[in-house]
Amino acid sequence: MPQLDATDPIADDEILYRRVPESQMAQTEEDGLPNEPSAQGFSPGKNDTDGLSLCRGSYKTIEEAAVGRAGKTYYVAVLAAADLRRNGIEVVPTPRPDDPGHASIPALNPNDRKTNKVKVKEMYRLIATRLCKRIEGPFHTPTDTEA
Amino acid sequence: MTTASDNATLRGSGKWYADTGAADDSSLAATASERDKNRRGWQRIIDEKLIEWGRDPKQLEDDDLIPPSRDVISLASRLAIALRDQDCPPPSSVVPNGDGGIVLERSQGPEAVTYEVYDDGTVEYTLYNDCRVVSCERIL
Repeated sequence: MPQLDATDPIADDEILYRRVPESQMAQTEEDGLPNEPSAQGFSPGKNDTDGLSLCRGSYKTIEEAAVGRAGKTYYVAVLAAADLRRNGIEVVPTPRPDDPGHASIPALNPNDRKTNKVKVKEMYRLIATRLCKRIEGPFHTPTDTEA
Repeated sequence: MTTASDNATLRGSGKWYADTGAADDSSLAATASERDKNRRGWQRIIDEKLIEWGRDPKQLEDDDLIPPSRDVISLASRLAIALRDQDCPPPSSVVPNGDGGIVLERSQGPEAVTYEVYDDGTVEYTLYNDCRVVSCERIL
């Protein structure tokens, strides 16, 4: 990967990834495999204090973005910054020491989930059902013994 | 966590679509095979998800996901049984909400309905149309 400045604004043509745990995937075909993220897969979690966590595609591959807790299985939702912004959803870089490609959707945070519930619900539903370009996976993060 | 009157409330809550006065899945006389299919769908969810989660809620724990407690899973199970017994079609997904709760969702076209069981034992019904909230009411 080329050297990147983690604080560079996210361009409209950037691709972003959202890691979704297997438990938050839905399946639309009876007896089928999980094939689309539930809206809950885009609901801000307790650690999303600066907004819903995403990963910039210019910093990680999909496989790298899929790495989570050992022993767990994940999917990766692919989003486009332009699609989010076209729907009034801002996405900003929020680099972390161990994750320079970290980005966030500030409007989707745990506090607003309580105080502005309807708006937050509508926003994460919109992302899951209309703005998710595709789903990749499943990806299993191996345990130490599995690796 | 739930009382007898809570269970009665859950039994009366069965609706997957807006009460527009128009016929919906539950008001039309479903054929016996449709009812059986619906019940099988619900039972699969109750057995393969809710009971399994209740056996070990920690299996849902993740870096950014608070698993539902056994009380929440039990309440979600009671809700599922109530909707099953009202011959409602099963949900298209049952997932943790990430914050200690569980969401049952059914979608059809632009409409979606969710029952969200929160970690504090409240239950909320939300109807969406094209991702917009049409109605949102607490039922428990």
